[in-house]
Amino acid sequence: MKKWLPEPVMALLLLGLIAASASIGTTRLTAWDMLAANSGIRALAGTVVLDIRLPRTVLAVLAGASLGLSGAVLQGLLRNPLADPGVVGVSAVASLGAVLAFYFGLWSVAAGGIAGGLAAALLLVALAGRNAGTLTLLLAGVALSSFAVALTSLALNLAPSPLAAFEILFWLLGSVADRSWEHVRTALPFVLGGWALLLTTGRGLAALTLGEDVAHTLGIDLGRLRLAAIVGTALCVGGSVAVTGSIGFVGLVVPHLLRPVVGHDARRLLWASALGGALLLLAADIAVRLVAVGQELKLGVATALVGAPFFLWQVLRMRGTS
Amino acid sequence: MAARRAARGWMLLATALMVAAHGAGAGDLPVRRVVTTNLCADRLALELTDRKNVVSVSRFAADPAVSTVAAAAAGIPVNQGNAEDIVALHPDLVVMGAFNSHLAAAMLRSLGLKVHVLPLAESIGQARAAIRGVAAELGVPEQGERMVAGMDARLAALPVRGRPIRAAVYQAGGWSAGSGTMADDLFGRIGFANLAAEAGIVGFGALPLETLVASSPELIVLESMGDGPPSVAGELLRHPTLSRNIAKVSVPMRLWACPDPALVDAAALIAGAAP
Amino acid sequence: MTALRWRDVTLSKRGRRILDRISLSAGRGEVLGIIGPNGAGKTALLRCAAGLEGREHGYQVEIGGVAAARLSPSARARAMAYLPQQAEAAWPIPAADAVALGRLPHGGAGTEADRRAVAGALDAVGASGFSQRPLSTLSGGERALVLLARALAVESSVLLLDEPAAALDPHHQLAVMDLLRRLAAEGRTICVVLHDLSLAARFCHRVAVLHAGRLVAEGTPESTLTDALLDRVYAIRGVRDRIDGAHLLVPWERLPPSSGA
Repeated sequence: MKKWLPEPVMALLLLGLIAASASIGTTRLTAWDMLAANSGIRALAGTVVLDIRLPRTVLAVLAGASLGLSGAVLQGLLRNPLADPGVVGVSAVASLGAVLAFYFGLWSVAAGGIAGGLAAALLLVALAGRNAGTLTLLLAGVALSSFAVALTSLALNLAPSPLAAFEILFWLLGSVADRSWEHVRTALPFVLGGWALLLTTGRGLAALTLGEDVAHTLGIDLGRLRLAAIVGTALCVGGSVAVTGSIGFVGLVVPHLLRPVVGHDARRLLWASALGGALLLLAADIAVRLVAVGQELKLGVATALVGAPFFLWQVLRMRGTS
Repeated sequence: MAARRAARGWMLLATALMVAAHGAGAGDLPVRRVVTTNLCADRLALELTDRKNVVSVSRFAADPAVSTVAAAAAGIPVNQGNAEDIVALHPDLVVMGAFNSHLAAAMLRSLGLKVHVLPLAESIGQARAAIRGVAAELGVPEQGERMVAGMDARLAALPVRGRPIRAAVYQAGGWSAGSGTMADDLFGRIGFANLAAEAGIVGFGALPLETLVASSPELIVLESMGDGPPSVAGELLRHPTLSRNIAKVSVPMRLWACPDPALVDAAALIAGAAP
Repeated sequence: MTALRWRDVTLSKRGRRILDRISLSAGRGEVLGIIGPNGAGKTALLRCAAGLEGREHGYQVEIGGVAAARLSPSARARAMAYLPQQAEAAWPIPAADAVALGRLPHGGAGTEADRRAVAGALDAVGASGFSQRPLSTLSGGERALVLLARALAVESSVLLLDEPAAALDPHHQLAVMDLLRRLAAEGRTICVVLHDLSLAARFCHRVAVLHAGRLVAEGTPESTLTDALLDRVYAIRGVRDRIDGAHLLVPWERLPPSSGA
């Protein structure tokens, strides 16, 4: 019996969405217009597709993959299906770090995001302890998120720029609109570094299925595993939040959707979740562009519209078993 | 008996005439105690009438970043625009701006004060009307006419392009001035095509970057070159696609914030910056 | 050669002495039963050998004559498999996948050798019939067998098993103990913590009796599980017999707790 592999299908779908994304925007120019006979249209299409649409496409892919991947890793590490960088507060604190860096010129915005992500992840592992029960995990996440959001709001109000106070929606809900290649360059090295670290955790996470003791006796260095998960998450989530703002629910929804198809093997799930996250976020960005009436919706709105009901459903399902 | 009735009638007529004359006379003399509570009112009052007639101005009058009469306003007491402060100044006339004004104006009028609300001007025509209106209230209508005439003369002297230069106002966050705005009117008078109006924006609205870039702009009118404190909205102005082959001109907000001759300076800046 | 040795191992936690200078060894081809009353330190002793407890005693636990501290984590993982008392499985993975996790010390890449080891382990415990079912759908006993198979799949020379038969029905209890004897006969070393004295008496080559953290007796079940010891350590009396050469011991009567020990 040949089982169909979802990964190649998802990869093809992603390439398709990238092509579609290059042709969707506020004007009627498409990627084909780059080959038009008229040189004026060629130039315009080139500018619009390559300098306006493509950077946001790439950022959506980078951020989405980071969120999906780190969601799968956090779920494996904390052995809890509700873990995700947004739920556990990592995204919110990374956003706070980025805000402090950006508006007060303290350090680079990527460094701010990563520092915030690191602080949150370390705090989380300390708070949630060895075996993170659902309640502890959610409470820790709520505490971190609420605190971070409050401080972010305060920081924006105190920022030197008078426009800052109005930008809270960007930082809390996220967007890739009007981002340029400069933003991609800012995030890229950290995102790639984070991915590299996170993808090494597959083996350890698989062993962790049977508990920490068995994992240890199978030769897994738990301390290194936790460190790789924490630092990897901080790098790729922090780095992408720094340029896109905090986008929620991707890391929660994607591994869930993929487990029935890909199985529970952590190694396979990590790669699939990265792919799935990129797919989901790019689809959300395209949707947001297609339904734009007046001001474009923030990306986090689209992901929340899908993710929040999903999250509620999961909580309801776990009611009996928690 | 008839004589007494006639005398009373003549006295009534005389009183009426004297009251009317007093009223008319008051219209011909400059108003002595003027309180202005908003920037545009400050500027018009200080430009149209004598400094000594202005008893109190808003806190923006002395700020050279936004005020064209900062020197004249120096030393004039500042009011915060609330009814208590104003009443205590015993003004003959209060000139307020259009925002938040109807409640405050109603309150002041109910206390027996004379209030003139300066309307928003979205075109040169409306600016003329605004100037004349304030001048009349201030008792200096001839000054108003002089100001309008001067403004019109300078406007007429601005160069008009042979072909329309494609331009748009672009502010942080992509905010642009579409049809029915002062910027739109000025663009028309100097022969520029307003890309925001072409894109269908009415009033102030967000002009998507892609739409702007795809309409091949030749000039972008900014408020500042974006060297201010960082903001996400401000980053948009530094997007690489706006940097190539597109001329930019920085027109300070103070030049077109108010219905007064500074508008012509704004138009002149824009007209001069076109490639 | 001694396959596993504890040298003078002492363990304290929060001021309480859990293990007190335990010196014990287990040889190749032997099933060593570690028995004792609740709280005697049996699980702690096993965890020490597994490297989960008392890491400071790295030089006092020897595996195949080499101090555990000198072994790399992967070498140690290949030399020794550990089965904890509490079954834990975070995700409902299929039984076969759970067993395959036991191949991680050998790389876990899914080679032919891995597949053979997994199939062999499942077969040995009799779990081949439900190998594709998710762990969460199995009964407690079935899950226990699968997790035991996971330990077997490591193909290590030493097996540390904490109560492998606790959740099983009598048929499977006997099957597991028979399996352990077979594995020992193949040359492996089995250290198994048991609560059940009967099983210990019948199936272990040697037993080590722990009481309040101390090793109070060790040797063959017959010579060690004397009436005096049973009285002192468990405050019970047992009935014994010999059947087909195997030692039958059944706890029979509670005795008033003795003053000594």
